[in-house]
Amino acid sequence: MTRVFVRLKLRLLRNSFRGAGWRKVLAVLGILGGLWFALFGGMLFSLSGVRGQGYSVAVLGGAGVALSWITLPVLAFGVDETLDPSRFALLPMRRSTLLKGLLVAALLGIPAVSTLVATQGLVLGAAIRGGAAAAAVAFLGTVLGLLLCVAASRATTSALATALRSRRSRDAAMLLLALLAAGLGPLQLAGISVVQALGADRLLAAARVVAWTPLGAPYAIGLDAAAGRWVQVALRVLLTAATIAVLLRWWGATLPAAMLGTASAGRARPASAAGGLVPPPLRGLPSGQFTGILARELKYWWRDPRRRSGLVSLLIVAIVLPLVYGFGVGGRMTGILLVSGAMVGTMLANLFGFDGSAYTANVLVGVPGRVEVSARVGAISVVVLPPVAATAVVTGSLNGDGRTLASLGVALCAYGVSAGLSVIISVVVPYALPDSSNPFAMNAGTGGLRGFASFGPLLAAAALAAPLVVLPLPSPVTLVVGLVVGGAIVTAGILIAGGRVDERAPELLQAVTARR
Amino acid sequence: MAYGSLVTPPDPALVLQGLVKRFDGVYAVAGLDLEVPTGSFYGLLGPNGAGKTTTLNMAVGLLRPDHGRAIVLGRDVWRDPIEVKRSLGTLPDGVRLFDRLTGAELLEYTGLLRGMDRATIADRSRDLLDVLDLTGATSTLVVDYSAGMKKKIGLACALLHAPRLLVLDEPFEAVDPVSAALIRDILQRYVGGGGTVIFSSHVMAVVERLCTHVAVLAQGQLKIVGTLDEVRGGRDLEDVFVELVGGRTATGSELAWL
Repeated sequence: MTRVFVRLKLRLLRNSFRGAGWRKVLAVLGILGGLWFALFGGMLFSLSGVRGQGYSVAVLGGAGVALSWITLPVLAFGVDETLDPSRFALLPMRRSTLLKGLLVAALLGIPAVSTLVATQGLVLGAAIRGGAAAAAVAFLGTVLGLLLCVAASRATTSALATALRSRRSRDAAMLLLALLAAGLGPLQLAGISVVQALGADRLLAAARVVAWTPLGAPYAIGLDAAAGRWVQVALRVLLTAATIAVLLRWWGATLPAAMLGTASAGRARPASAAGGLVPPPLRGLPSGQFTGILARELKYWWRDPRRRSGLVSLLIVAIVLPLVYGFGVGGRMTGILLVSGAMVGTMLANLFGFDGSAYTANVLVGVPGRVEVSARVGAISVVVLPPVAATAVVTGSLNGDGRTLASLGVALCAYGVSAGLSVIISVVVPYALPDSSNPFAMNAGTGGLRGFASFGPLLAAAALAAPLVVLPLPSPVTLVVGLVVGGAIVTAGILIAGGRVDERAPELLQAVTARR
Repeated sequence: MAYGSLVTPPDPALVLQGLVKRFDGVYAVAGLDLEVPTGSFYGLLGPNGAGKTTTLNMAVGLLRPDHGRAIVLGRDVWRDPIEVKRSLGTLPDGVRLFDRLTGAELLEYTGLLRGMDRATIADRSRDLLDVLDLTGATSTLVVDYSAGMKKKIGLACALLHAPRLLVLDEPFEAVDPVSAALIRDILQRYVGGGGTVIFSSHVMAVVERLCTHVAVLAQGQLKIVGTLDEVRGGRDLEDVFVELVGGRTATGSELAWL
C-alpha cells in the first residue's frame, strides 16, 4: 500500500512541471533552492569534523534545522499538502496504513531530501573523527533526525489546522499559534545573539544540554560514537525514537479530524443588522465599489482562517521581533524595524489568491483595477499599520536616543516599499491556494512561491529604507522622507497593478482559481 | 409557452460568433455561433464536459476566447466590458461566492459593486431574501448554507441590479423541487416582463417546461439550434438529445456481474 502512496506522490511531483511556464520556473527554482541548501548545509555540517567546536556545530546546527522544520511551515511556507488527508476519507483504509503512506510521501519532498543530504556532512565529520563505525552511527542519526523533523512538522501543523478549523476552539488555537509564532522565531534569533555574546566555551556547554533534547540528540550520536561514549549513543537513540513515536501518535490522533474537513460548520454567527457589511466607522465613506471591497476585505482578514492565521503570525513576529531582538542589540533597533515593516508588507503578495474563484464576483461587475487594488491595500493597511506604528514608536522611544520619529519613518517606509512591490507581484504572478480547509496547505510546486514572492519586496525595502537607518538625518526629516518614499512606491504599485488588472482580470481569475 | 415569441425584437440579446477556446491544446469550444433573441427563454443543453460553462463564461467576460466575439445587447463583451456587464446578471457554476459573508452582507457587497445606493440595496435585498425563502438564513455565513441555498443566494446576487439579460449556469442543480418551482416562477415572470434568460442544464424536464428556444452542445460544437418545437420535432426531447449526443444505451448484457 505504501508503494501506491510513493507512486502517487512522485506522479504529483512530476506533474508540477506541467502547465504554465512560470510554474515550471518555480518548480526548478524550488529544486535549485533545495540543492543550494543541501550543498551549503552539507559543507557547514562537515565542519563537525573539527575538534573542539565540531560538537556545537553538529548539535546546535541540527537543532536549528529541526526547529526550522517545526516553525517555518507555520510562519512562512505552509505544508506541502499534495496528499491531503481529507482526500482519503472515503477509502477503506486503516489509520496506520494512511499514516505510513503520508509519512513516506512527506519524506519524498524537496525539503526532506535536501535536509537529508545536508546532514550527511555529519557523517563525513564523524568519519574523520572516528572512522567507519562512527560514520554509520552518524548516518543513523541523520535518518532519525529527518524522521523527527517530518513527524514534528506534520503533527504541529495538523494539530493547529484541526484546532483552527472548529470555530469553537478558535480562540484557544489562536493563542497557541500566537505563542508558537511569537515564541519560537524571535527566540531563535535572540538565542543566536545570546550565544554570540557568551563565547565558545559556553557554546559547547549549551550544545551538551541541547544534545539531551530530542532536537539535538540525533545529531550528537555520530561524534559520541567517535569519542567512544556508547552509553550516551544508546540513550540518545532511545530518546529520539521515543519522541518520534509520540509525535506519530499525536499526528495519527489529529488525522481523523483533518480528514473530516470543514464539514462541521458550527453555529450561525450572531446576527448583525440587515446588510451590515460596512462597519459603522466606514459608513461615512461614499457608497460604492471602493467601500464595498474595503469592508469585505476587512471582514475577510478576520473571518477567513487562512488569512487570519497568516496575518496573526506575521503580525506577532513583526511586533515581538523588534522588542526581543532590539533590547539585546541596541544600535540595530531601527534596522530590525525595517525588517518588521517590510515583512508585514509582504502580506499583499498574493492579494487575489486568497479569494480564489470567489473573485469571479468582481470580474462579473468589471471593477476598475485601481479601485480594486487600492481598496485591498487600504484594508490591510487599516489592520496592520496601527500595530506596526505602535511597535516602532515604543521601541524607538525605549531606545532613548530621541529618534522615535525616525524609527516610525523607517518602519513606514519599509512597509510602503514592500507593499507597493508586493501588490505588483500579486497581479503578475498570482497563484491559487489549494481548496483545502487547512490554513497551512500549499500546492506542490507553488509551495516555495510564498517564500520567493516575499523575498523580492523584502530586499527592495531593505535597499530603499536602509539609507534612512544609516544616514544621520534629523529625526523628523527621516520620518518625512520615509513617508514620501513609502507613499510613492505604494501609489506606483497600485497604479501599475491596477492597470494590469484592467487588462487581464479574466486571466488573473483563471490563475487564482484552484484547479479541480 | 408562447411568451417572447410574440415580440419580434430588432436586436438579439446575445450573439456569439465563431467562439473558440482551447485548454492545453484540447478544444473546449470549437467554433460556436449562437443568437439569443430578446425576450426568449433559452436553454443550452449538453452532457458533462460539452463546453457549456466555457461558452457561458466567454459570453459574460469571465474567460477570454481564443477567437470569436460575444455581443450582448449590441455591445462587444471584450471591447466594452464595463458597459456590457452593467446590463448582465450572471450566476456562474462551480465557483465560490464570497462565502465568509452572511447572505445579507453578500447582497450588500454585490449591490455596492454594482454602484447602487444603500437604500435601494436594502429594499431589494429584503425582497429577494423574502421571495427566495432565505430570510431565516440572513445572518448565517454563506459557507454554512446548503448547496441549494447557495444557488438561491447566487441567483439573488445576479438579479439584484435588475439586469436585462440573465446568464445562468446550471441554476437548477442541487436545488430541491420546492425551490426549483420558485426559481422557475421568478424566471418566467422576468421573461414575461421583457427580460431574456439563457441557462445551461442537463435536466430535460425543466428545459421542456420553460424554454422557448433550445441549443444542444456536445464536444464544443452545437448539434442543433432552434425553437423548442423545431428541436423536438414531435418527439421526446430526451430521445432527441441522447441521439444527437451519441450516447449509448445499455442493452442489459454488460455488467452481468453486478
